[in-house]
Amino acid sequence: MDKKERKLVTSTIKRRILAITMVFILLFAVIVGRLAYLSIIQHTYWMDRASSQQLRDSAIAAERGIIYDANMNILARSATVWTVALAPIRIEEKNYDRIATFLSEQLGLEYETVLEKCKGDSYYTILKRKVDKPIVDRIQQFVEKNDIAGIQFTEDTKRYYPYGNFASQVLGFVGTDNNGLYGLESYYDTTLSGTPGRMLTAVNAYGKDMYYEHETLTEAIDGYSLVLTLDAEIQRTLENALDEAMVEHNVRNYACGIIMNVNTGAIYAMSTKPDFDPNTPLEVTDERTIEQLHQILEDATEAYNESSKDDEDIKTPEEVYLEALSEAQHNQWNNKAITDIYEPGSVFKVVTASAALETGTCSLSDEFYCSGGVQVTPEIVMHCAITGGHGQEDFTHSVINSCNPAFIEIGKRLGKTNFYNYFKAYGLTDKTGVDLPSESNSVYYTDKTMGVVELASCSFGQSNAITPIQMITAFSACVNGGYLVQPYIVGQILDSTGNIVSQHETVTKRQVISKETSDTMRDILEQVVETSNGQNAYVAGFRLGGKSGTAEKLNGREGEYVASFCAFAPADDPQVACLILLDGARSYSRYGGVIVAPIVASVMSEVLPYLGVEAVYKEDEVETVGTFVPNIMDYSLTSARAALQKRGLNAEVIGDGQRVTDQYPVGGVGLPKGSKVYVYTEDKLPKYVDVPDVNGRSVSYVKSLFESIGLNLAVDGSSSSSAVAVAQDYEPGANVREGTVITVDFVNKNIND
Amino acid sequence: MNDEKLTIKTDRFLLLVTTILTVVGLIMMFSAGFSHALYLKGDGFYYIKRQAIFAVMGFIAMLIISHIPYRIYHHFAWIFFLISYILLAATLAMPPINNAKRWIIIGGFTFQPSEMIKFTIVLLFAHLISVAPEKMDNFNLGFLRFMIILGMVFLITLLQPHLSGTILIFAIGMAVLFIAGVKIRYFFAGAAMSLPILALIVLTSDKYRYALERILTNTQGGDTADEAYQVNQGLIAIGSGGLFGLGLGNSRQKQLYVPEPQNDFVFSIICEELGFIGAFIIVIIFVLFIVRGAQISMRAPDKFGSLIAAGITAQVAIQVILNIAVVTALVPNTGIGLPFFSQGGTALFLLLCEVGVLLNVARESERVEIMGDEEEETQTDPFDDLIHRED
Repeated sequence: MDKKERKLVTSTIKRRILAITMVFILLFAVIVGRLAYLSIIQHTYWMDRASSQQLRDSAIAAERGIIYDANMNILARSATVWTVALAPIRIEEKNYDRIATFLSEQLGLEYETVLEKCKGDSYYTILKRKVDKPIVDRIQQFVEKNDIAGIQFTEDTKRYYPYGNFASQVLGFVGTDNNGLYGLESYYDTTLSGTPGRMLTAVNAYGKDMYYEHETLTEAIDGYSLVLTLDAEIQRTLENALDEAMVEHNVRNYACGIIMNVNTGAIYAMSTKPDFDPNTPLEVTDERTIEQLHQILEDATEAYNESSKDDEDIKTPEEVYLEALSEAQHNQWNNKAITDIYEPGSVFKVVTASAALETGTCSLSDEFYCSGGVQVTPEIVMHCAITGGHGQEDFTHSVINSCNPAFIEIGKRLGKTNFYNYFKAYGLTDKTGVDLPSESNSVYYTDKTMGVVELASCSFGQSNAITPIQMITAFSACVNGGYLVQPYIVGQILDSTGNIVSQHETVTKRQVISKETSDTMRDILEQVVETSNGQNAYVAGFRLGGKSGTAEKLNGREGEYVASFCAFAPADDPQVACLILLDGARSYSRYGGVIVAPIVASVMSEVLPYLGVEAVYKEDEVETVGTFVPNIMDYSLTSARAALQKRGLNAEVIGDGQRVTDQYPVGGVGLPKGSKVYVYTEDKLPKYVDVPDVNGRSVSYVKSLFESIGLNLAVDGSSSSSAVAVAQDYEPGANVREGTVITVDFVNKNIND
Repeated sequence: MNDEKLTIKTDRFLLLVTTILTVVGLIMMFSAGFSHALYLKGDGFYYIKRQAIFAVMGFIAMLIISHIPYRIYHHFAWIFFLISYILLAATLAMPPINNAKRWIIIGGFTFQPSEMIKFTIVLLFAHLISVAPEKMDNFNLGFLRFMIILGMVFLITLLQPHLSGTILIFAIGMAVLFIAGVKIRYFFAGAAMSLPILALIVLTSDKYRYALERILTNTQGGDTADEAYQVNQGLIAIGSGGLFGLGLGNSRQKQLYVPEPQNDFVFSIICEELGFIGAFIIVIIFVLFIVRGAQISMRAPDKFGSLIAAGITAQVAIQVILNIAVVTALVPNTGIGLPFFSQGGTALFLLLCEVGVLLNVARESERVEIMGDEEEETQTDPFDDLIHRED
């Protein structure tokens, strides 16, 4: 072969180079095709995969709005807290013990629990929620000092209710995620919670933010704040009164009260006892309920131990207890002023009476005769509370006497159609629309379903069951000129900078009765309080109107009653109404006029001055009007006498001196006019006396008794001749100084409603 | 004549393409590896500093080598091969990195002899073929001889173990034999003969049996869960880049998602940052390199030069194709770097040296064209003797 030819690049080589190059180019084409497929056709898919691993979508919490009372006192607010979590995968093994020791101590957890969580291989496990700042600060210091990886903090908020057990059912509470679960927190959840923001952060594979910006931020919009019509002062007055009533009248089920502006429907106070602390809503606070729960657990344990273990139906004591506990919790959370229906009893007579007057089916001059019972049907006789009957009585007195036979007659004259129409017109067939969650509707007879017997019982407030809020709203309509208003509790909504977002305007649904009928009803109801049956609700200096009610609970335990009283004031220019009811009271009387009227009176006596209603005393009231003891120490006897006289007080001088060396009661003490102040003119040991037991005694008896032994009497409650003492602020037998003011509660027990 | 000789210039086109690949390679390797270097080495410039030094050294070496007449490699073909073979064998005595003994480790400096042997195999084969072309018609001398040489290399690379290196060397060797004109039926005969050997290897070694199973069952995965994860993260990078990419330096997948993004998977980050368009342009530049390499090998003044040039070009082509095929999950994750782009100083340096040789082949053919055959005939060809002897 030719040497040169052998050396040269043959055509075979060239062909093969060409061939292999073509193969390479073909392969490159395949690769380019594959790249195009991945990055163009499948782009969206891979983009999503990328985003889901690279982007951390964190919500920026919007701050929950504040709940203020009418005077801008904070009832509920949120504060920043932290969730402490671990990223076990990033925790170094050598740090396990250190972390578990420190965190268990700081967070109040078990050492083993924390250690176990450290050992996992997850990216996120929560240790504890709602940790306060000081603890988080300590943990952060610990992390920095020891250079420990894997402990994370996430900001969160916690709801605080500064007043604790206060307006609990109205305010409600929030869950762990700060979502409103009950009460206003639930009803206004969207308003309060605002709109959470979002932050999209690009993170590297270790979960840390990438070192350059990859963020999209949507600012959070903080929640709006609520300004309630509820006034903490009035609320406190109501709650104190209800708390006392719970004890004094041994209330088995609950006590409930509403105080409302009769013209606008603004709710000043609303409470149900027993209640709870919204800060710790799961805790049962009522002692009686706690006792019951213990009893249930004991009984269940006993039943369980006695039963054969293989009986599958038997519940374990734990199950029974937890069920009972859950029921008790829901029971204390319910705002019974709006969720529970009851038969209003005689308070309802305002509806029947006003309807009868408005339709003209009855007039004030109509006379009724009560023999103590009415033959409603051949089989059924309905009785009056007074066995002998009220005898002859006019329309006004049938209301004052709360006479059932008379009202059966009034109902009969009114007729079912009229009765039902007014029942409806008073808003008793609809929810009131108050801005609170879980409002119940009434259970009632319509003109179609109502028979003679039902009409009779409905006329005096039995058979139809309504909610307390429906009752007070209808009552308000009856006395405010006839206008049915929608009750409400949130007066204003503010944004986070304090600007008013919305302002509640009074919603008048309709005029139910004419102004004239309303005026007449007011007059009648004022007479109820001024004479016999409502006199326990009498408040000196103020013109109150009201009606008591007592209804046997048909579905309750034997002999359980709902006693209630609804009052309004001032009678000539109504502004405020107050309804209080006690469900299941066991006291010296079952009647609302006896046990509830004094509570309403005491609440009203505080609320009316607070609302700026001026007291105007009648002549016979002056005596019971309180005054203050002047400080007369070192006065000359003459000027001391003059100072006391000026306040309407009498002086009992002890000693022969000319200058006052001591006085009792001391300066500043409040007491009724006409009381005796002991004035000492020389050093002499004061006399002490034993406080007598005055229970069941009349006002005049107690008055003369106290005068004779040197005590001053302050009358609380009814001062009518038929009222008797039911309580005194110094225990019988207490040794007190001469001149001490003893407050005695008087109640007229001879009231039936 | 001397004046004209001075006008013989370096192949500017190849030089340009090489420069572009090297510079773009450095930039992309820097970008892809920055976060990795920053988080894991504490210095964002950790990789680029080393790589840039080798690139500069490699460029200088390339320019020098481009002036060394390639024919002198006839003398060194065996020596180079033996040196690289000894170095390769020496790796087995070295401490393993990631359970494999592929590296010569001296101080902090590591070096993969398999990178070197890829080139020395090309040199040796080109030498053996060109000095005795007539032997190529004989199966034993024209095919089996080469297979035995390859077998000796594989004996070590499979012990290392280094599957991807083995595949590469095999492919390069086959490419050279194919271009040299070895009869197609020899390949089939060779394949028929090597099948039992291959089967023996696979069946006796757990590792390779596992690798085979993997290749047969799943082309998306890698050797281990880690390698499958790497492929998956690479795909996310490529796919999320889209048509135009996230922009240079803006890769998110390099934020510790793609393991070792500066290394075998650098191309996935290129796709993410520069998009399909950018990746396509880079592929085109590679194609230009390969087409130019093919041209040079076809225009080479002799068989030896032609085969060296073809071998070097084929090596680059095979590596690029396999690398991108791995990154795009067309073939299992075997661990082949992307020439000019993947981190690895010695590999880049050697690659640039090889381009230097390629440039010299181009230069020599240029010279022959200008001066004509006569000129060449009159020149002392130091290998004429050698060729005569082998005759």
